[in-house]
Amino acid sequence: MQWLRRAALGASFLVFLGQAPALAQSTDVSWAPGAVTAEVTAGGTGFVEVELSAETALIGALLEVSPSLRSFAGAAPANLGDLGAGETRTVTLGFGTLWDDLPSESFTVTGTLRVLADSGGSPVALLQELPITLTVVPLPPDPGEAGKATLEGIDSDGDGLRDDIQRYIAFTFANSPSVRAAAAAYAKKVQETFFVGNDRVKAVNLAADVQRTRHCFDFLFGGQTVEDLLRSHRATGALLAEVLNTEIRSRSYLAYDAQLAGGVYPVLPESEWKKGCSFDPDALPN
Amino acid sequence: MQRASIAALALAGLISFGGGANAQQPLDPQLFCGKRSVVVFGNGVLTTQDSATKSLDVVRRAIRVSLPPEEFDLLNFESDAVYNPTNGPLLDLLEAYLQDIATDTREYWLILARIVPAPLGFEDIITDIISAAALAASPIQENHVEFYRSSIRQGKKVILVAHSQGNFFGNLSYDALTPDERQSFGIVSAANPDSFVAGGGPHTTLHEDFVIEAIDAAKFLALQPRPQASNFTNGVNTDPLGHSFLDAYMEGPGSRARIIGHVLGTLDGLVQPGEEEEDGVITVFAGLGSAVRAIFFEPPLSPGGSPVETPAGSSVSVACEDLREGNYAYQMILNGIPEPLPRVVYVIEAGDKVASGIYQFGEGDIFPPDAPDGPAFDVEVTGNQEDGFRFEVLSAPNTP
Repeated sequence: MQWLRRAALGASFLVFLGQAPALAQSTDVSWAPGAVTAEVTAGGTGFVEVELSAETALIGALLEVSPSLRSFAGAAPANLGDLGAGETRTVTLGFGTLWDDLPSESFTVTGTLRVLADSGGSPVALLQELPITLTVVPLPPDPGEAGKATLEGIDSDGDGLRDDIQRYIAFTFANSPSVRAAAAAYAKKVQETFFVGNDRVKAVNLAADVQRTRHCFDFLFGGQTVEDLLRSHRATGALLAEVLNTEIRSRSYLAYDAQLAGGVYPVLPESEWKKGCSFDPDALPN
Repeated sequence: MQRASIAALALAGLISFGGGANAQQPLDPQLFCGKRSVVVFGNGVLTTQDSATKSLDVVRRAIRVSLPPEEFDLLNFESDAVYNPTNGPLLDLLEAYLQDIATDTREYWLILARIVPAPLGFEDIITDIISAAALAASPIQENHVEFYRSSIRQGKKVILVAHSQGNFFGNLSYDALTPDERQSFGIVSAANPDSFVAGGGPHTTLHEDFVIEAIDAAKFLALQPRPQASNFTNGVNTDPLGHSFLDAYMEGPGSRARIIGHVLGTLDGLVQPGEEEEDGVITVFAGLGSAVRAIFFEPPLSPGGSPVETPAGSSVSVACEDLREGNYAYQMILNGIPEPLPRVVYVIEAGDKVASGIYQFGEGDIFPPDAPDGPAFDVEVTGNQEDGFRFEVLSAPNTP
């Protein structure tokens, strides 16, 4: 599998880095926690926050994920800028998988997050790297007709998203963990509309959440032209159709929608769409 | 004039603090002086709220890509979807789908979103449902009218992009506005099933819009006024019915450019509310007479600076473009020790807040003579030019 090839390449690259001359002193930065162990479902995403403390002042600090992990992990902010001695920053690590990493069995990949800082005009890697161990588990099985028997459907891994939708998103948006995360957030909000009942205030508030998550998707998938945005809207339209795939789900959604009639709904400008993401898209591999 | 009516209240010795948001209404009626216009989308039937907001997203982007960035920034408009009732037709179509096609409703939603074509015969059902809605009377949407009014009161022009059935609602809303309000409210029509656009706004109906064609036939038979004539073509559309706002009117570059041109042209032709009046967003009126003078304090021009202090007469106003965050104060000072001590009638308007009353100078205002420590009316302003400002009247001394 390609992920194994990547891991092998990454491992050899790490050995090469170990021999690289440009290394700073050993007490340059520290991490809390000192190592990260994470698990992500294929097609899903995960986030972990870590604290980076600079023991000495750093100029133009950048974060770099080791090659073995680059298909699976990203870090944000990637550019930390200057840090004073003793200064601490929060870094978000995001995990996700690409299409050719969708496994039939669990696998583990290891690597590091390290800091590059300016030293006399050239970047040097600081010694204290953050070890990362990531386990990728397979997608939940297709629930088939059993997944259509109830309003809520089947969510075997308890991630808040129906298994059939999780699989649809994994296969439809296979090449972008960030788009998948946005699609999952939108689908979860649409699922919530089934349970609004006759609460108009709840419906109105949820409509704002649905729009916010859709705008995150459009931010990542909606490009710059009108045609790009129409394409993005068709993608969420198709996802909506998957979520509303039974009579009772469709009726529940229409009951929610009926409560929105007569209202006025502000639409955010594109400059605000990124704020609709409940996660940091920059922390994911792409 | 609003001022005259408020002054009358003041003379009657009343104090009022106006405003108050409707919790159900996303519009914030307490924000002033931010955006200068609102582009609104009013949907037709067979449209969910999610789809209505998508339509407005596309209108917004189409405006953005049609203008150089600096011109788009200058427009500085907000956008809101007014969601017209459409659930009956959506349910009717679902029933028809369940009866005629399948129990797996995924395709129903794909058809609605024009992602897959409707099966044979189902397009006729869609057309019949939209036609039936067009023949029925549309109820006025009070919330929408109030939203248009609030926006105009806040100094914004309002452009309603109305699609299909949304034209009926738009025309009704126009009728409910006052003649002054109508000068700042324009409708840009797409796929109009009505026989006119209120206010004489422009319309675009595609020759290949088979739904409007069907409505035309139905209205003819029902002896109702027929829809405006079709007047444009894209040739081929993604939507076989040629009626969808996104997949026919916005997908087609020709009709899209035409509609966006109508939006920009209409926007240009509307009156900016409040521009014809001299009043600012903060106004103070006080019947000072010869016994009292006043000083007006404005927030510092730069952070850490001193308040800007200017002698003031009986009336002061601050225009939107001059507004900045901070405290504004109108302070009255006695000229010497007048006999008898004067009473001053005053009215303060700050955005949606109004304070009015009568102040009777007392012994406590006399000493030390001429010192600037008389009663002050304080208005706190928070916000910025981009998003708008909020107002609070912090102090309005009054004599019962």
